Amino acid sequence: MAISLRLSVNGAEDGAGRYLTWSPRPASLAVVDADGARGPVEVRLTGPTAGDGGRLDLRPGGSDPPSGHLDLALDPDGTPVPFWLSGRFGFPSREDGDAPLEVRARGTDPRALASFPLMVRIRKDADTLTDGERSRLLLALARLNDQGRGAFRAFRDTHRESTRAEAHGRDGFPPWHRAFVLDLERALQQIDPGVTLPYWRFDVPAPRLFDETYLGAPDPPSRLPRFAASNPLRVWSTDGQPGIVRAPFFDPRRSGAHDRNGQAVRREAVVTGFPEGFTRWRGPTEVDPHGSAHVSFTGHVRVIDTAARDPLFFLLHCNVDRLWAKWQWLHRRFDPDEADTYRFAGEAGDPGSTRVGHNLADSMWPWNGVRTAPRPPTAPRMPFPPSPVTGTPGDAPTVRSMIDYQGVHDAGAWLGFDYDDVPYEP
Amino acid sequence: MSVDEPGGGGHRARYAAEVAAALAEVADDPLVREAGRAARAAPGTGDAPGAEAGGDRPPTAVASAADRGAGTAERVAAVDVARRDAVGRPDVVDALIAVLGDRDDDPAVRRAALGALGELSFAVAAFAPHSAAYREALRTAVTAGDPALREDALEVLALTHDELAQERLVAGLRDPAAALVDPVVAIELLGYDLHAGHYDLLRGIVTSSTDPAVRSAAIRLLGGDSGSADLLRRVVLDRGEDVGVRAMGATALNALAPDEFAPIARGLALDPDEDDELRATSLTALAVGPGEAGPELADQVVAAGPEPSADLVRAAEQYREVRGSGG
Repeated sequence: MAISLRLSVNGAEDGAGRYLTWSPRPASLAVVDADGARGPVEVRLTGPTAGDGGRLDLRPGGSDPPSGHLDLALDPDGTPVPFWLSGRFGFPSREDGDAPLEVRARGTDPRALASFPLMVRIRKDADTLTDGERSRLLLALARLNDQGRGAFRAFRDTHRESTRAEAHGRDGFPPWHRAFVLDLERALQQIDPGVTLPYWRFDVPAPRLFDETYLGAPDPPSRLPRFAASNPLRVWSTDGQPGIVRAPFFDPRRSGAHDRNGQAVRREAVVTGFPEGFTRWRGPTEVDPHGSAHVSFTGHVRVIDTAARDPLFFLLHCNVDRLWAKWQWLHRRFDPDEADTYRFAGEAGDPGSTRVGHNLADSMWPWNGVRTAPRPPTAPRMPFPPSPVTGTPGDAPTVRSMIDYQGVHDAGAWLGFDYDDVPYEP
Repeated sequence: MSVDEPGGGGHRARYAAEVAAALAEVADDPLVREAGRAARAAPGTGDAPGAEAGGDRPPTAVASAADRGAGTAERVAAVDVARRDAVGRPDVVDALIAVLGDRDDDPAVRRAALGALGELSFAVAAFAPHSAAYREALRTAVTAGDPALREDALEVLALTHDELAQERLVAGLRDPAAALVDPVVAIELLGYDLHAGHYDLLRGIVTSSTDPAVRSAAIRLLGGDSGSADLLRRVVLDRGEDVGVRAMGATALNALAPDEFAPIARGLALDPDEDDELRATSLTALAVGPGEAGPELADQVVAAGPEPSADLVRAAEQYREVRGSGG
């Protein structure tokens, strides 16, 4: 008989909770079978130190400095010993479970006691995904769509001209789209928990992304991109029509996005570097680079009503969200109660408030299920999907719940995603 | 920014230095100017009531954009500045619409205005009051002599279900002399707002046209028409047909009637005399669809021919990932 241990991460003792980002997350280790030991079982916890997979940081407490290892004394009676885990910035996973937490005995007999597969699950630049990451993403997207009959249809129906006011033109634009992107990502993770939504960095070339094995290669003079026959997007279908209509005005192998007239999207540094408050930042950046990126193509992605028919929409908006996240990080704008983080406090109807859905305490359509005016008459996606790693944001997310996504200001606000180039630095 | 040390650290300061260097190169960007102006006026004050309003900004760019006495490049550049400065500026939106709708204006400037208005229509809450005027300007542009402007305007109208655009597209497909754009483009644009009455026209194109690109474009849209299942089936199974047209027929039939397509797809995938692209497309449809072709199919497909293409092998691997292996 050997010592048997049980790991809990994010409150779950099964594998469902073993997905990490850069933010420290609560974990615990307990003895299940002490193999006759009567005193404390002294162990050392370590993560991988080499290889291409994810790496781990460990902390005895959530605000302690991180370390590559952690020593614990486990009570043989099975009492869980708490500690904190996070992914090490710069070292995201490439596959599910490629960041094992190794547990070894300490002392004269440092034998391996257990190995728990973890994943540092991070959103990445779409152009940098491995072949395996790309294949899993495309397959999950295609299965979610199920050739036009699957759950993807509700995503497509959510982002329409008729629902524009819920999500555009006001300060709720970034939080609403953060929720929308996260909703899709969670739906993909229900199919394959190792998948994250990558971002299309539209201000630089993306030669791998716009390829026939990925999101489709431009195939002029056709407006339809060319897909390899093995690409699951080859059989993509929405609104009863097969195919995606999308042709760039730019050459994605050589440049970032620009419109037919050569007007390039705003560069990342201009967007993230803008030092003023949220409202001053949101207005101009919603136009450029967001609107600019949309109109750098012909086809579905060019207007609000049809944009979400194209999976590229979600990679584009993942990048818009990353730019907000990076701006938040650079300027330390995670506290929802600070005016520079979000201007419209309270809820619709309060003095100084704006349209419903765009104030801090407002719940967001469609996840709240509200179908009375001024909300749209249907709610295609409700409730917000749960996650095995966090109970946030709950069934009906508010604007507030989308802001402190890393749990910098409030650890309970953690939404369970991170970007490969936006660290956790409270 | 990766640093292989626990917790990394110092990333913010390094990135701030990168940003500062980059901003120095784009000092003419309105967002950068705005930041500088705000910093000079009241450093650190952030958002104030009315922060989104931009009415205090000078109308220089939009005036330059509308100045027909100025050169094309200068005016296009002015449109670029104006679009970035348009938040809270209905006068900028109006001026851009006026440029777009002016038949006699420079096509390059009109194209630039159309691009700018496309961005603004995405993002500006106050765009609704301009929608009717924008639509009229687009309708004016669909008859422009400049083909790119014509096509762009027609696409935006088609995407927003404009009846006039529909009529012009249909008329052009019936009579080439009335066509505003190439027939493939016209069919693609028609697809943005397809009505039951269009399917007869599309079926007629499939049976009468000799251009594979035109026929493929029409076949794609027939994937939404239950009355076209027989036609699509015939196209897919016709070995004398262009392979690209057959492959499009396969995706259309798969979208229309996946259960009906599944046995056809299985037969195509297993037939070594069929084109590998068609075989791989069929196998991909079976992998991601609801079919019950069985886990052994991928192995059978690969074993059926002497040298399967790399893409067919990849499709088989993918099929195994989803359906399991028969081995």
